[in-house]
Amino acid sequence: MDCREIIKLISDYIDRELEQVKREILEEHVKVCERCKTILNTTEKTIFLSKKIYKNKKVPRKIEKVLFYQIRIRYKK
Amino acid sequence: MNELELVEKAKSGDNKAFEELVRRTQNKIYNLGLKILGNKDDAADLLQETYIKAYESLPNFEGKSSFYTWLYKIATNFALMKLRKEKYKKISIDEIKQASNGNYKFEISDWSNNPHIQYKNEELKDILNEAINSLPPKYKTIFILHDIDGLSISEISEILSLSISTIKTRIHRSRLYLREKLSEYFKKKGN
Ligand SMILES: [Zn+2]
Repeated sequence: MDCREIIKLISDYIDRELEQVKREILEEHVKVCERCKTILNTTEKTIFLSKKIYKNKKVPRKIEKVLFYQIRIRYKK
Repeated sequence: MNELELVEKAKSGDNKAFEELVRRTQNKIYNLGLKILGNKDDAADLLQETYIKAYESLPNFEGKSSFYTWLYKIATNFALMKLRKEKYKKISIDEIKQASNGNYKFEISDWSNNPHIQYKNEELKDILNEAINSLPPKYKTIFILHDIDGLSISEISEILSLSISTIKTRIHRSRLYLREKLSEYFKKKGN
């Protein structure tokens, strides 16, 4: 497999969706190919960072109040 | 009481049960809105639209998927509608396809252990945020659902009514595009 084909497999590899044979080919490849190894490492880091930039927040009280008001006026009597 | 019991009660007209479902799920939906739409006002609108729609369509909920997945589906569709109305510049599908093409001249420098990313780097946050926001709506949504919210590919396939392979392709392209943007940033920073 050449670099082009390896790069196509990177996401499946990261998501552990790759069948064993291909997984081993990829792992062998990145041992000897600096370029693909770099792309793999930096792609993983990109995902890691994307998770980090968002902090989960709680629904603010005011917004929650309006939400429940909007729901309740729709209740069938 | 578990989710299934609450759903059953809510379906039979128990409003208190529905409210309990809202309380249990509202933070997730609100955060999904913040991430996809990028601001509090739109996230608040999304929250309302989602639960009003959920309340009204509850009789049609068959329980084939989990209540969460069903809610995500409603919320995601509203979010996509809003995103498509947005005016700011998105990259083209071609551009994003290109960045994942094997022949593409990738920006190669291994910044994965760069000390800049160990800290709370606001500039990096902005760059990444901007890059995520510039993704075409469906790519952005899929990327957020999968890589940030941790939904599985099959759940997303159900939520967006798209095939597994379409979802996978879009995740792959989004990742490589974002990777490229970060690589450019670190290159400018002198790695
Ligand atoms: Zn290679």
